[in-house]
Order: sequence, then structure tokens, then C-alpha cells
Amino acid sequence: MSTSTTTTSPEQARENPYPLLEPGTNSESGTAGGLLSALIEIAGAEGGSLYGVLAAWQREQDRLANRGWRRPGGMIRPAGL
Amino acid sequence: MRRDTLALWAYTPPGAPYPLVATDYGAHIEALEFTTVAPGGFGDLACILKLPDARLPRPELGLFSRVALRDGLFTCFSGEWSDPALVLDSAHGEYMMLSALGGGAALRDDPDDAAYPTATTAQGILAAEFSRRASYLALDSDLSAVLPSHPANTYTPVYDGYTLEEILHDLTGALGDYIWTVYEHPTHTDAAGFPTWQLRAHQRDTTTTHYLALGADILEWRVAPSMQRAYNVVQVAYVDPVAGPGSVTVSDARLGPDGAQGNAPFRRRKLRRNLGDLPLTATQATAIANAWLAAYSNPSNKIEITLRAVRDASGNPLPLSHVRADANLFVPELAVRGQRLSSGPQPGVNQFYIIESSYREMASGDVRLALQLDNYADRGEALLARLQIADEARQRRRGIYRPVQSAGAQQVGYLSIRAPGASAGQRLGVGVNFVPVLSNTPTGLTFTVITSANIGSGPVVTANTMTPYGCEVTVTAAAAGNVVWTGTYTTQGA
Repeated sequence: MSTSTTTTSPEQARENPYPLLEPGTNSESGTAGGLLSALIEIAGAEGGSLYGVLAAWQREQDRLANRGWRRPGGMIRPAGL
Repeated sequence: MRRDTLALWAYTPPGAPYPLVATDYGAHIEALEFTTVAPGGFGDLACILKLPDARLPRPELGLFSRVALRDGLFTCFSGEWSDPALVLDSAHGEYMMLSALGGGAALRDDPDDAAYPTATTAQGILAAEFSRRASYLALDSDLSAVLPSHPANTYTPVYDGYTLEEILHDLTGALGDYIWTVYEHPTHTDAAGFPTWQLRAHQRDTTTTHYLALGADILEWRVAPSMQRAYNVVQVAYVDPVAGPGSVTVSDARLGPDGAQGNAPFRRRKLRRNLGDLPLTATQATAIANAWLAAYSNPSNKIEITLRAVRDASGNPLPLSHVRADANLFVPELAVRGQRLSSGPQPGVNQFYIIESSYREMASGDVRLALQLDNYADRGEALLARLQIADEARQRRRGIYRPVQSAGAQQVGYLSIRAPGASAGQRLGVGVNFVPVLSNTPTGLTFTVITSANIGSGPVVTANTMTPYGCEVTVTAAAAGNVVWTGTYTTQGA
């Protein structure tokens, strides 16, 4: 009989440097991820431009918040809820 | 890009004052994301584009220019650029952050007033609304895919500053479990040779299997039965154009007659909605209540699932970019969720309706498809979107349909009767209008006098005149001469 434990190593913790969008969902899952990683790459995360990363993050968050209602159908729930 | 053989065509809109320019930007894309949604069809597209010199004029990337993302002859996304942003970064030069909205966004272009005092079918209403906008609507005028089953129900709606999109939401809701989408027309093409946008509306099909995802195809999932959509009693308040306010209640037959759980899958929970903003008859309100009851009386789910591969219903591999909303995904692995292990697709257990597909492709080679199934997960962005849609509609509204006073709330109003030279015993009457209309017919009125002179009897409500809209009140003159009664009335039992 074997037992297993799950631990998070510092290396694993560093794999996802993006802020959590909500509990249980990291920036890579679901529809909330958007194009953040590509934007950060272009904005120069490696170059140490924190301002560039934050500006890109903010702009991407704005886009994700806006698209939900601007696109056709919005976020109307089927059948009234 | 092009790892998945996608071509991103951008072209100047048909009818634009400059000549047609069409360019395939597929090779220049750094990252791409697009969605399809139900209701809605093509949702939105965002991409990051690195060009040798982004400052060169490119009319095909301008506002309202068209975009078509195609895989061979298959149209993955078709829409128009909405926010093409040119960004100059000191470290990395220029890039373009482009976003586009699906063709269905054109349904929002024209909020207008319309009323249908004569009962009309949903198909008739949509045909009339399309025909009014025929000269400028960007969608294909072919309505053959709109309600092909010809539902016979008729409606008498009043649309106050409604866009075509809101009219579609209203009618598909009133018909029951119906859905609308805007996808590419199967045969019609525009001046540039790309498919036009076609409106489709039909009953939601949750039984046909369109796509299949096996265990190896799935990157991650989150399956949550949703308490928010578990109701077994539905009450709908409505305002009939003639008979006035009313409400209907329908309940799950598995509940006990006294509301005890009985054989129902969960305890008694009531969903109540006021649809009093629009004229509805009791029959229509009952149909809506029954449609909601059918949708909510068994537990439903909010499911997010991310795929790295997908198959068609027969199990043949299918590109991820071909998956679209308003179809069903069969996940055989989830059969264990059923009360009995099912051997085939079972809606709500291992087969789910796709309400949003989100395809993402990164420069690193990462391609994935995130699906929202059965219902949206309640993120902040979903809540914000619904609030913004509601607020936008509120700002457009010019009036209200017919305000109704809450049931049981007493209404106080002013009443005055004055007649010079009445004869002795003469009966004098006045009409009383309840504003707003009461929820029920009151049992009577009580009166508080401010001034009275020469009153023999009254004021009293004339028999058989009481309605939720008002009644008649009379007094009699005690003797010949001037009669005066002023005061207030208070409704009882409404």
C-alpha cells in the first residue's frame, strides 16, 4: 500500500507568475486567460519593465471585462436566469 | 501562426468608399483568441500582430473593416474590427493589438420603437423588424434559418428603444427554450467573396451529439451542479394588455401537493420573475413559466472544460477551431455522474450544450479550446456584462409599459365631487383612476373627508364597478343646493 502527498515546490510556485483571477482558476484556464502571456512577452517582462507588464495586464483585464457585454449575445443566460 | 492552418483575412467592408483590399495576416499573428457564443454566434476575436512597419496605412485593419478567420473553406470566425490599436513600445517596437466583434454585433446598431397591437408570430415580428432596417442592416436578408419550425404562438409586444438583439432575446425567451446565433451563410457571399452573416434562430437542441471529447483530449475540467438553476416552482408576474396584471405559478408534479419534497430531486425552491415590462397574456406567461420549470426542475451544471483535441460525433479528429457554440459536446468519461451508468450520450450527465467556445493559439505553439457548457461560470466579468447590458437598455428607454402597484400595498388618492344646484336626493358620481394600476381588484375603499357640505349619504363605491384600474364613487345630496365632498380614498385588500 502506498500513500502520496501533494506539495508545491518553490519551482512549481514560480511556474505561474500571473495573478490569480479567482480562487481555483489560474490565468491559463477557462476563458479568463486572454492573451496576457503574449502581451507580457512583447511588453518585455524579461527586460524588467514592471510598468510595461502592469500596463499590459491592466489593458488585458479591461478588454476581458468589456468583451463580455460588447460581443453579440452579451452574457445573456439561456432561458432567463 | 498557421500551426493549425488558419488564415486570418482582413478586408475593407463591402460598400466602403475605397477599393477592396484583402490581406491574409495569418503569418504575422503572435497570439490569437476568438470565441463563439450562444446566444450570439461569432463572439469576439483578439490578436496581436507584429508588422514590419505598422505605420503604413492599412484600410483593411481600420474600424469596421471585416475579418474572416478561415480554415480552408470553413469559417471559424467572421466579424468586424472594433478596436484596432497601434502600440509603440520603446523596447520592442510596434505591434498591433486588434480586437473584433462577431457579425451579430450589427444587430445592436439600431435601437428603435415598435409596437405590435395585432397579435403576430415571432417570425412575423422578426421579418417586419428586418424589413424596416433592410437598407442598412449589415446582416444577410435571408431569414430562412429563423424559426424554421414556424412556432404558432403570437405576441403583442411593445418595444421601447429595443435593438434587434434585444427583440431576439425577448422572442426566444417568450417562445421557450429557443436560441439565436449569427454564423456564416452557407451559400451567400459578399463583394469580397467571403460568406455573409446569417441570423439563425431555433429551438435549443440538447440531444444531438456534435462533438466528442475522450479522456486523453481533456486538459482540465470543472463540473459544478448549480444551485442557482435549481427550481421546481416558477411564478411569473405579467401584465395582460386587456385584463391587466396577473401572475401564474407552475410547479414540478413530483413535489407533494403541500410543497413537501415528495419525489422531487430537491426541496421546494421557487423562481419568481416579473415580466410586467411587456404585454403578455396568461397563456404566454404560462408557456414561459413551463419552459423555465422544464429547464430548472432537475439539477443543471456549470461546466468549464479545456481541450487539447476534439473529435466529431463519429470519433474522427477535428481541428479545435471548428468547435462552435450552440452544439453539444459528449464526454463519455463523465458517465459516472449519472444515477445509472449510461451507455450513450445523456444530456446534463455526460453530454452538454456549448454556450461559449474560446479558442486560443499562442506563439509558443500552445493551442487550446476552453468551453463553457450548460451555463456561464459566475465570474466578475459575467456579472459586469449583465449589469452593463441592463444599464445600457435602461438609458435607451423612453417610457414604461404599465406600472403596477405591489400586491397588498394600499394606495391613497385624492377624490372630489362638487355639483351646484343639485336637487334633494340626487346621486352624483365621479370616476376614480388608480395610478399605478393595482395588482388585484380591491375589496373596497375607505374615505377620509377634508370638506363636505350637503351630503346625504356616501361616498360609496358603485356596485360592480371595482376593477384594478379604478371604480365609480357616488354621493347623494341631502337637500336641494350645492353639494361638495373632497377628501382622500384608501384602497382595501388589493
